[in-house]
Amino acid sequence: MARESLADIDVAGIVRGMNARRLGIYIVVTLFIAFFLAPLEAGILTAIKTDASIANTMPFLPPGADGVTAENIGTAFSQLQGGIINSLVMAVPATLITIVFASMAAYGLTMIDWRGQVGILILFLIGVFVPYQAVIIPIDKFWYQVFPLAQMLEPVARLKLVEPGHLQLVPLTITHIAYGIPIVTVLFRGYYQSMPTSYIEAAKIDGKSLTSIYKDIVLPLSKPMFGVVFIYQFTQIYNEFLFSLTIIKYANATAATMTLVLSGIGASISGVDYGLRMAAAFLAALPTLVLYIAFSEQFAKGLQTGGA
Amino acid sequence: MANITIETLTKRFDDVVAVDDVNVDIEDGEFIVLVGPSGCGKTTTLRMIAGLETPSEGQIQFDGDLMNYRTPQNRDVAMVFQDYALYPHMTVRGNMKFGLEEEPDFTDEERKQRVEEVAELLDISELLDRRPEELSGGQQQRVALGRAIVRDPEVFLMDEPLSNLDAKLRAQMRTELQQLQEQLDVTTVYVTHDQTEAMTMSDRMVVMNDGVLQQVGEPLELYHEPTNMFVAQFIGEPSMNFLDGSYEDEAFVSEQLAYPFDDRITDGLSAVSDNDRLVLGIRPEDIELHDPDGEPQGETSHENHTAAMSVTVVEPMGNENVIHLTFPDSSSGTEDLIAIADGMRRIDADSDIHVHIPPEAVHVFDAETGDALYNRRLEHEGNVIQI
Amino acid sequence: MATHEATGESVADSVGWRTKFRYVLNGDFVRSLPFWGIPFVIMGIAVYGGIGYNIAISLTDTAGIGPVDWSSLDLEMYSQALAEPAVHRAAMNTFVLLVAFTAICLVLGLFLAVLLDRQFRFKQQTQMIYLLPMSLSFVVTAKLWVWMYDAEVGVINVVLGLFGISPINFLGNPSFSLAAIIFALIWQFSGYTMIVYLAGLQSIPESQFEAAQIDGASTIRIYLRVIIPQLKAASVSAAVVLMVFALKTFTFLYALTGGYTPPKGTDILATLMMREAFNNVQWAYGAAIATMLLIMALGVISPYLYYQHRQGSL
Repeated sequence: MARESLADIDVAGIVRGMNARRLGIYIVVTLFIAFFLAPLEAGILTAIKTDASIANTMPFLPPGADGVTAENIGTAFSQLQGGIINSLVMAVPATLITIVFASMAAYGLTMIDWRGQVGILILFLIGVFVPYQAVIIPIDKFWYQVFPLAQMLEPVARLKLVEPGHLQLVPLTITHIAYGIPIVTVLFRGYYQSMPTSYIEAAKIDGKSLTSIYKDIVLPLSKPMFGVVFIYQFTQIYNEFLFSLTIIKYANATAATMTLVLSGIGASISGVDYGLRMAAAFLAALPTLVLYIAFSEQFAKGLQTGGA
Repeated sequence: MANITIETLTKRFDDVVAVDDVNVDIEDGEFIVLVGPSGCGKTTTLRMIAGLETPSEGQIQFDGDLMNYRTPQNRDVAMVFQDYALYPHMTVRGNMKFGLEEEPDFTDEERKQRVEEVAELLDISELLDRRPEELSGGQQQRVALGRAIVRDPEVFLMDEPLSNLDAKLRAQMRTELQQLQEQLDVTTVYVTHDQTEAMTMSDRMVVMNDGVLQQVGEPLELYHEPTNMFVAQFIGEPSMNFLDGSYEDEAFVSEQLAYPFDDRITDGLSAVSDNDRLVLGIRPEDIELHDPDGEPQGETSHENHTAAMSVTVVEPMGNENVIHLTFPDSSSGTEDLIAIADGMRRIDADSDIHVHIPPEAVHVFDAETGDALYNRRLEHEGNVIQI
Repeated sequence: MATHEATGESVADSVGWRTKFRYVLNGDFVRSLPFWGIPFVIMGIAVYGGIGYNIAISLTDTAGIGPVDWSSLDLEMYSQALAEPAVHRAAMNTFVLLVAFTAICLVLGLFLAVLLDRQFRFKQQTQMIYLLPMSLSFVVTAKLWVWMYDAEVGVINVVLGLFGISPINFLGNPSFSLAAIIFALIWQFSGYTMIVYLAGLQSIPESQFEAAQIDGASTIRIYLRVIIPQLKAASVSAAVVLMVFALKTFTFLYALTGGYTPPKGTDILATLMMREAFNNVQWAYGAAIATMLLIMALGVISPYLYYQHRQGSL
């Protein structure tokens, strides 16, 4: 058999073959980047185009120099700013309180071993998946007939601390907390389960109480998870629409959240103002987009453990 | 079956040189063990032979055919992985058959039969329909071997295959693997960090450190004639003792010890001049321990290569005692020598003892380079070493 | 002796009772209660109280403004719903959405995960872009896609126009509208399945791939025979999340039109239920449809929870 050496082999051919394959992968990767970014790219360009420019230029191409306007963004901002503030005022405390409750619940259901735990856990898990349609009528009846909290708080409003219209944010926040607890508990539980039990056992042998184990060991060790959970749950609440629609009801209400206001912008069938719509969509998405770009890994981790 | 030629093989990962200019010829049917501490490049070398890594430089040939640019699929090698890499969703039968399915010369009936033959050979016939998760570590190990054997490859590659087994099973599998390899007569490259495995199983072993090949040879050759201090200390358990000193007047002189060399040794040290730094090496099992009040050779003197030392720690192993010794005026308080004494002999910690270092068993190394200047000669060993 | 025994017994009894009591108090159940008790009660009232209340309302005939009318309790609303052609249509659309959306998301997500399961430059950034739609509100996505689908100036029709295809009113034409909505939802969710599959791929040791390579299998065969079969758990959990989402999706459809009536041909049970309850104030009827949705969701998640329980991963 002839002894093959480097010189006899078509090295260039092999390298070409490998590069062709690599190139193929890059092309597919790029096509999908275009697929996922196209609606966003075209949307942003439309937001800065004048009406004439929207009609005349390709939707995914930038406008000419005379076709650029900041008017849509300005209008969208004035319409949306109240909604965005309402959403933030509601979502931040709702997320924080949910996290406190859920991390405690997860600790009680993971680190401490007792019979019947699985039963309680299954109740939490079903709570994660329940379609909110199955509880949405009761939510409406509860906050408007059984326990009209916003109305009950009106005396507080007379102290001129808040406008009475904003009080509806209180039941909305409570609703988000109640329905956020199951998923956030599941997120924390997954994390706690991956923590070595030897930490807990060592602390028990050191004579620590369950409270002290939670405070001194579990909490400091779960700092990264708090980040993941905050990003995940804040995005969920900020983007949520169904509860806002049911509790606040009207896009022009004082307490209307971002999603509620946005759903009403440019909705009239007669004149569809795409420039304004796109500008509003981007302003509304901006807080979560910034958060996502800064913490995309945490966001991905939350999705991987918690589900959409 | 194939012989493997490795020429100037080099692998760089970014700036790190994992394997540096390695040259080895592996003969057809040979059992070669690549051994060295972790990170020494032995696994990278194996993975390059397998085709899982591409060499940065150099060549790998099987029977003269260049392998560098062949994918693992086209090399006709079989490999046993450290974690076994059994496919968890397939039965043992499925695992063993998977590779055979790629070989078009077999009918399905033949494949089935071949799997059963190999299972018989490895005594795992009754496991064929189980899944890997239902098997013990030892059984998984056998299945991984079976998956390699079934393919009847040109070359077997094994990456620390025994490291996940407990000590007893490991010793048993060592013998079994060796017998199997002899029976199948397939060229085998085996990677381990365990020098005992390397010594007991290999036809020849390749010692590596920091990506550089240190020495290739038969196990006893490496044991008795190490080319440098690294090989000397890596092979043998407990490790060879090293004493730092210098060459003065045809003798090795350190703070605590003056050790005159006889002609046999000084002949080997012709390139060494006075005051050069040397390292004296002696294996623990070659050190003789004498009672201070006993027979004449217990007398401490430079001429009969005996020194007074004290025992710091005694580790009884049953068959032998590992004795830690210091020189009386040793400032460090750490041990200076380790010796091995018979298990039946009673030696107390904190006692004084006379230590004889036989000149026919010493090694001399260059302190700068670590290279061996003088090794004991195997032809003199007959009556001294019992292995 | 006998008296001794008797007193001994009573002592043992009282000690036993006290010890038992203390044992229960010190037991992990009681000691862990302060941690999970309050969240459990809040969640329990909201979820299970809500479900119970909803079922109760569904048994009444409540409609219009005013409090719930408990006077007549029966299953009338259910029989009415089951006989209604609009419900049949919505159920059919729900089914189509659920199957097509789930299946395509899984396949596309798996493809993207395998595509990204290798080393190349900007891998992290690429993954971030693929997942980006998941960070957007459905209201935002709906706004974007209404415009993408616009019959005159929308990107899709402009691109189709380049190939000589005349404009299609995707959201206005009932034969396209459901497919168009499924496509937009896939755009948003395939990044999610990708990320779930990537986690699954990362948990498979590199040596599995290498062993199969050495066994002589081609890359495609390695994925088909060795890697993908090991992603069963990831597939199951992603499929459950996608199916439950398909059942309850409402926001996207609402935001497309800005009202309770979604584009023609896309009415699903989730939107029908909301419209009946909040637009037509047919509370009891809406509650009955909501209960049916709940039963469907339970039909998806119960086998999943059972599977998880059997795997010991609960």
